[in-house]
Amino acid sequence: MPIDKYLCDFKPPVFLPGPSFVKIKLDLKRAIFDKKLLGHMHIIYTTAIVCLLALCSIFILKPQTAQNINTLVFGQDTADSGAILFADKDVDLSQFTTQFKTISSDASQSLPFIEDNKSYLIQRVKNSEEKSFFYVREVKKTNTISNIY
Amino acid sequence: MKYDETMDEREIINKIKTNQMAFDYIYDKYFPQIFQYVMYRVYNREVAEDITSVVFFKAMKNIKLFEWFNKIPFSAWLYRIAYNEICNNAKKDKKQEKILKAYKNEDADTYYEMNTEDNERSFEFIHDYLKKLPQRDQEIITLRFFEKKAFAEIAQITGKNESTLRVNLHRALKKLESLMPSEVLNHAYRQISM
Repeated sequence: MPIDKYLCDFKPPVFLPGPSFVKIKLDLKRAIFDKKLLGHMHIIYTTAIVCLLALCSIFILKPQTAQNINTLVFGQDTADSGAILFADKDVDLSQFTTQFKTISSDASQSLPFIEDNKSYLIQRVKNSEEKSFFYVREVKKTNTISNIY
Repeated sequence: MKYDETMDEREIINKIKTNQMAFDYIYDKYFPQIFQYVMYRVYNREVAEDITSVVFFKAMKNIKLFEWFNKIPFSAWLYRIAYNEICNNAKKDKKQEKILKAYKNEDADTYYEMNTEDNERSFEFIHDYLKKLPQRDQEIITLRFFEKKAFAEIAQITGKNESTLRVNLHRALKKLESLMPSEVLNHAYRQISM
């Protein structure tokens, strides 16, 4: 009895997939299509984070840009804008010198023009003779430098 | 958009990654076919379901690698993936076999025996001998005698030419025959002829 004759006459059983047919289909669809959506979300999140970091870097390196955006959005300069300028060591003070009230260091004990309930910015500078001077500026909410002493 | 037999399969497969309806069509058409083939090879429903789902997942993941210009039908490509998965599973099984042998549940086997159909029992008988053969021989015999595929189709699945396959099949049958005592084979033949 040759084996090939046996196998040729053999009727193999029909194996049909059970109820798991539907479950596997759903699992596969979830794995294939949801993963794809998740992949897109990754790209969106990464792009958003990169943009945010780039903006932060610009604001740190160029604070003036942040101030300009602030002015553009809120329409007016904030009270701290003067402080930002003075905080920068390289700021050109020549534009203020004519309008600033210069006080010698000896007069620092009494400042009669300093009024109550007003904010001032004081900048201490030294001249070529190593003599200290104070520049006093009143900080107003409007971006004017008219009230500079 | 619903897909049916009248549509070009190539077009459907191109849309499978982005279109869930295309995926449904391919899955419904090929899953039972691949599942049956895997069942013939492993003869364990849970394992067959696991392997078939892995086959489909891998096929969908690597759908771009499927090349139409080689003129291999999509089903043949799925059979190739299935064959590789069966081999991977067999390697894992070999490692686990030693552990499981010690804890083999005899009662479970008896229960299975009593609840199986006649032709399934005959299949179980032949499968016991078949699984002793190398994977390549098992594949050819399964495709030729259980799946009833022509040599041309088997050639597409295995990537071998028809004359090589005929030689391989002949050798595989000789090996199988040597494993089965002639009286057992005669008895089995009488059972399927009844």
